Amino acid sequence: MRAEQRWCGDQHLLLVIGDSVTLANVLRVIDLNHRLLESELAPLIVETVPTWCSILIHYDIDKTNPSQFSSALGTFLAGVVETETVTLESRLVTLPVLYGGAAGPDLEFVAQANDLSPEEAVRRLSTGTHFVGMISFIPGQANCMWLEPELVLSAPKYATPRTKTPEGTVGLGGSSIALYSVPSPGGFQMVGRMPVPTYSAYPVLPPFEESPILLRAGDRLRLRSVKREEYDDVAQAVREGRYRYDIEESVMTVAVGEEAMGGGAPQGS
Amino acid sequence: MELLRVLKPGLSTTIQDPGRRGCLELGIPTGGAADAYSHLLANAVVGNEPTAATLEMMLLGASFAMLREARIAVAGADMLFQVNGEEAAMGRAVDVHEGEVISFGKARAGCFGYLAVAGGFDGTIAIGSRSTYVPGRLGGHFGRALKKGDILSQLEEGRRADAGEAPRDLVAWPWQHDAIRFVRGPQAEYFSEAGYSSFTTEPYAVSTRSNRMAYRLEGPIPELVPIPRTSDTGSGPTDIIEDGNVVGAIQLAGGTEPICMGRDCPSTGAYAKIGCVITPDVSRMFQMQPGDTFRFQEVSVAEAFEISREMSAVIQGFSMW
Repeated sequence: MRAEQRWCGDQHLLLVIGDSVTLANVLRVIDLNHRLLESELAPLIVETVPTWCSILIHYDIDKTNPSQFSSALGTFLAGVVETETVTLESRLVTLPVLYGGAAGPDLEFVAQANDLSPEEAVRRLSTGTHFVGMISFIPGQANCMWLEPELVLSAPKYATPRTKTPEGTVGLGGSSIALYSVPSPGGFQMVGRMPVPTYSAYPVLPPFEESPILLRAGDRLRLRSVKREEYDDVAQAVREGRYRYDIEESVMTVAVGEEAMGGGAPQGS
Repeated sequence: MELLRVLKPGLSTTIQDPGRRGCLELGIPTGGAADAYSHLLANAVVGNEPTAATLEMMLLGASFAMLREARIAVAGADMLFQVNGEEAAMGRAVDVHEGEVISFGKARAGCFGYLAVAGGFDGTIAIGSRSTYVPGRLGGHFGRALKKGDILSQLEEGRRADAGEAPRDLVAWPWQHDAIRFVRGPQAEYFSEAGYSSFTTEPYAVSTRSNRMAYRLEGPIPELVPIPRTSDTGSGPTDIIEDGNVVGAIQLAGGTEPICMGRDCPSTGAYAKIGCVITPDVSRMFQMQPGDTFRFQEVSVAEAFEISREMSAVIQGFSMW
């Protein structure tokens, strides 16, 4: 497999496998990241940050040095055979969302930008399957892309980002969905809000006993449309610790085709 | 064992250790002591492992009432460290007793001061670390900065080392910031050679809008190379497809503002990075106060690696007294 290596200081390498945000690229990233962490290089790796089309690798400078690691990585990549399909563990997680109104003040703008009624925009958001490509930027923020091309909505991001976005907000920017896990600045259009947390520093509900983060790269999401009454009921159940997430364990196999790119060792030394 | 009570919390005082590993892919930063070097030094002086938690104070120090006797040490920013109103030495093991007051003032040199106690501070462990990450309410003391009246505990001492003293030049090392060394990239193609030239010759100043998340810099904008824009990159001249962030990476936000990523920086970023500050100089970077000026100096990856190895050898040599 060909990929480009780029230096990031003295302990990190950026491995770039593509130059576009596509499902095929992010699936290759997830797959390559798994293989890397199961390879004989794993003991040299502190951790990785897989994103849309690159993987940041933190290597352990007490065990290796930059040129040694880079050349070992090159050897590893040369041995990676690109497959036509990628198979990965992919849970199907269904989350309730109240769309529009105060919960999603930008829904009408998004509908207009796509020449649709607000009802049709909600139908596309709530019936589509959203693939979690990466968890990034802030703790637990899931960044997703639609698996059904015919349902995709697009909207420009805010020209000037907001300073505050309420936690639980469902945002749309470009053609991706982001779930705001903690209150944060943001530039995505706010289309709805979830009454359930996707991040919790304390184990207030079962999934958080293992990790403060609900979602993982590779998960698929359904953002089911709920009415105000159900939103309030669910919020109450969350507060009382009674809420149970709708999570279905499964495995997914997707075709990724082939797409080679130039590359080699990082430039300079 | 209850160790001390907070009399004045200072500007932002938090429990820190070397940070948490393996959670960047969940969007949780590594975090940890802003000046990792001084954190290690303070720990070494009282015979602690590098992983022991210390108290980090920013710009304006805190004051504490001791609830029991303890051996402590201070490193990092010079914050007028006093015991019962008498100035005490930094980088040296100091024995303090129940009822005594230890206090810190405004930083005279540096930005982040570290207070270590033999055995280390106790605090909530979240994802393998006691480091406080305030935005995620994780670790340390209820995931927040200390408040007046908080009571902190210490862990049992392991071996008690002989009273140690760090040479003055080791204590003062992080305050020297005339040149901050970096390695070019990972998005070097966005910057012209003239851009790199001005970046490494003109002075930069630390902005007042700097914190543990990011150090914003004021100085000339390096000349850019126009790179074709796509709907995936975004329309700005330095917009890139979001990729992994490194502590010490220098982004050019919006094509105009250089920002050095701090310990609590977001796990990913979407602006081109002109370079990444080398590991030892990251500690020096964060010891600068708003208004301090410095120059960037380019080094190769091989040089950066050698410098990093030398610095960790210095610390390790000192810890094995």
